[in-house]
Amino acid sequence: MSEVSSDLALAGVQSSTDIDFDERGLQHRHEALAGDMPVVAGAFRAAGYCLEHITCLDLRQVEEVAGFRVDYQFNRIGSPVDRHVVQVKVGETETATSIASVYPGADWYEREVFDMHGVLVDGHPNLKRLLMPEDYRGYPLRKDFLDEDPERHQMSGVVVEAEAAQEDVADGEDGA
Amino acid sequence: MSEIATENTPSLDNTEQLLEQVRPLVHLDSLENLLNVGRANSLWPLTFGLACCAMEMMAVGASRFDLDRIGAGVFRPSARQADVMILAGTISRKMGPVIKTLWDQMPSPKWAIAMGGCTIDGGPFKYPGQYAIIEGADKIIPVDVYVPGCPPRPEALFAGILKLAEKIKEGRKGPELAS
Amino acid sequence: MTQPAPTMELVQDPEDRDTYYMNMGPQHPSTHGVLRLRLHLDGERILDVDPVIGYGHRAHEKMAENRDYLQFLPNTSRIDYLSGMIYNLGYCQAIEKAMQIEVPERAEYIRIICGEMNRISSHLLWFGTYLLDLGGITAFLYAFDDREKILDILDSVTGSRLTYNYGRFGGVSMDVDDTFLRSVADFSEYFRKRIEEYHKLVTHNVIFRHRTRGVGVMGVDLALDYAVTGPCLRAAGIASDVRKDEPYGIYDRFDFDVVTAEGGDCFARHMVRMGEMEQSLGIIEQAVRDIPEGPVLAPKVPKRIRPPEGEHYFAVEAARGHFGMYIRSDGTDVPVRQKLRTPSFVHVSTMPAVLPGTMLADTVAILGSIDIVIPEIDR
Repeated sequence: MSEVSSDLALAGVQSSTDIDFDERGLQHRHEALAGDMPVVAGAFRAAGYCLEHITCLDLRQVEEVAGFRVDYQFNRIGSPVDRHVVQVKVGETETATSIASVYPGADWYEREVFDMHGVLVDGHPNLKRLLMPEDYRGYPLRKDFLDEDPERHQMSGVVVEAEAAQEDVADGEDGA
Repeated sequence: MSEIATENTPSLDNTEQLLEQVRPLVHLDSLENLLNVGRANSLWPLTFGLACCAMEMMAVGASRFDLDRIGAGVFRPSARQADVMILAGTISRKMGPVIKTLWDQMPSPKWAIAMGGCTIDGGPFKYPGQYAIIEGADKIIPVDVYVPGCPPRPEALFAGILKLAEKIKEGRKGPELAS
Repeated sequence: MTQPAPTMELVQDPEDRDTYYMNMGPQHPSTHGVLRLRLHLDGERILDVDPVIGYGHRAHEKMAENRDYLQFLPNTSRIDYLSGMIYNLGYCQAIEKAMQIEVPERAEYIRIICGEMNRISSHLLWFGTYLLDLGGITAFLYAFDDREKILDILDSVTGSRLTYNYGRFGGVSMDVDDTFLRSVADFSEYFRKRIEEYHKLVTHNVIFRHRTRGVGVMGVDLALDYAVTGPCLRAAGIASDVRKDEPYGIYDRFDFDVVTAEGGDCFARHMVRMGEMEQSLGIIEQAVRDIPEGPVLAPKVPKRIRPPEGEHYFAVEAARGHFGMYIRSDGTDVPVRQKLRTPSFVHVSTMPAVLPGTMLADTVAILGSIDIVIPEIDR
C-alpha cells in the first residue's frame, strides 16, 4: 500500500493492484475512467508526486478490442521509489481528458498521444501534432497504420518534380 | 588561352546578342584552375548537424583531426556564406523542406557531402514501414560525395572532404543530376 | 516547381505592431541539433516561445514494435548518442530484469566503468559546446581533446566511438584486458588534474559567470510540474539520482555523492556537471580496483528473448537525466509497445515556462545549459 492509496480511492480510481518492484519496476497499478483523471492527477500532485510519462497502447494486439489504453505513470521524486501506473481505457470513439491543468508537463505527452495514436484529449490547451508535420495524415503507432502515402519518401507538403518524373519513366519501362 | 564556346554560329549583325552569348562562356583555363584550387582548399561547410554524425563532424573540426589544416575549418551557420553542405545525420520528413530551402540559399558553386548511412539510403532506420525519414539525401538534393559509416570515423569524413577537394580541382562546380 | 511547406510560415499579429516573431532553427548553431523555437519578441526580451520538435523523429518506437528485442539493441545507442553506452547497457539491463537473467560480476564492473566513462565524455562534450555557444572556442578544443582520450579507450574494447553496441543480454560482448584497465586508471589520474584546469579556465572566468549566474532559473516547482530530472533537477537543490533512488547493476556497492547546487540557474547546472565528472572518476577508480576475474557473459541466456507478459519499467541515470523504458510485452519475441521516456523531452517542454522574460542572448545560454540532444526528444 502506498501513502497515496487512500487519496486515490477517494479520487475515483476503479481498481488497484500491488506489483513486485523487483520483477516489474513498478509498484502499483490502477484503473481509472478518463473523466476522473484530473482528480486522480490532483491527488498525486497534492502528495508531491511527479508525472514521469504518459503513453498509449493500441488494444487491438493486447485484448483484440478496438480502442486504446492511456497509461499515466507517477512517481515520488527521490527515494524511496513509489511508482504508480494508472491505466485508462479509451474506446475508439471516446476521448481522454487532459491533466495539463494539474501537471503542465502532461501537455506534450498528451500531444504525442494524439499525434501517434489519434486519441483526442478533452480540455487540452493546444492539441496539435508534436512529432509529425502538421499536415500529416495518419497515426503512426496504431497497429493498422499503413503509410499509404505514395510520396512516402518525399518531405511533407513538397513534391519534387524531377524524381516524380523519373519514377514515371521507370514505371513505363517496366510496363507496369 | 581564351576559348569562346558557342552553340551556333551567330550572325555578325547582332553583336549585342553575340556578346550576351559569349560573356558567360568565356573560359580562361589557367585562371579556372587557379580558382578551382582556391575553392577546393577553402571549403566553408555549413553547420548542419542533424543527428549522431554531427558529433563526428564536430570531432573533425576539433583539434585532433583538425579540418582547418585543409582550409575547411570555417563552419558557417548561414547557408548564404557556405560552400559545402555536409548532411550529417538522418533526414526526417519534417526536415526535408528545410534542407531544400537551405540548399537553395547556398550560392553556387556549391557541393554536398552525404555523411553517414542515413543520408546515403536511410541507414539503420530503413525498414519496410518506415514512415518518418527520407531514405537518402539524394532524394532531395544532388550529392557529390557519400561517406558511409554509422557514424563514419572522423578520418572517413576527412577522406570524404579530401575527395571532394580532388573533384573540385578537376573542375566540378557542383553536384550533377543523374541523367 | 517546388512549393514551400506550410510549416515554415511566421505569423504576424496585425493588432500588435511593436512585437515580432522570430524563428530560431531548425538549422542553427546553438540549438544543439534540429530544434525549432518560434520566439515572440519585444525588442530583445522574449515574450513567448513555442518549441517545434519532430525534425529528428526516426520512429524508434515503431521500429521496436517491428523487430525483436535483440534486433532493437543497435537502436538504443542512437536514441541519445552522447550517452550511447548508458542507453545500450540500460536496455540490456531492462531485459535482464524482466527475464531474471543474472549477469556475471566482471561484466557488471565493466558496465560501470564503461557507463561512467561515457558519462564523462557526454559532460565533456556538453562543456565544450556550451562554451562554444557562449563564444569561447578554447574550451571546446580542450574538451574534445580529452574526449578523444575516452573515445580511444572505449574504441579499443567496443569497436565504436559514438554509437556503441557493446551490451548483450547477460553481460557484455567482449572482455577487457589489463591494458584497458591501466589506460582507464591513467586517464582517471590525468583527468582529475584537468578538471582543475577547466575550473580555472571557465568557472572562474568573469564573462562566464556574468552570462550564467542568475540566468534561466529552473526551480523546485518546475521540477514537480514537469518531472525534470538529472543535473537540471540537482541544480535546484534536490538530491535525486536514479543510481541512488533505485540502484541498478551494482551501483549500490559504490561510494559516491549526489552532486547538488543551489539556485537552479545555468551556473548551478554547470557546477553540478563538473562535480558529476569528478564523482564518476571516483566510481571508475573503485571499479578498477575491485573488478574480479571471471566470465563476461551469462552462461545460460535463452535463445528467444520473451519477457513475461505485462508491463515492465526500467530506469537508468543517463548523462541528461532519468531515461526510462516502459515495455509492454505479450510474451512473444516482439514487444507490443516500447515507450522511451527521455529526459530531454521534458527539459525542452519547460522552455515556455523558463524563457519568457529573458533576453535573446540568454536563450542560447539557457538552451545550452539544459543539455539537450534532439533525437532523444523526437525518438
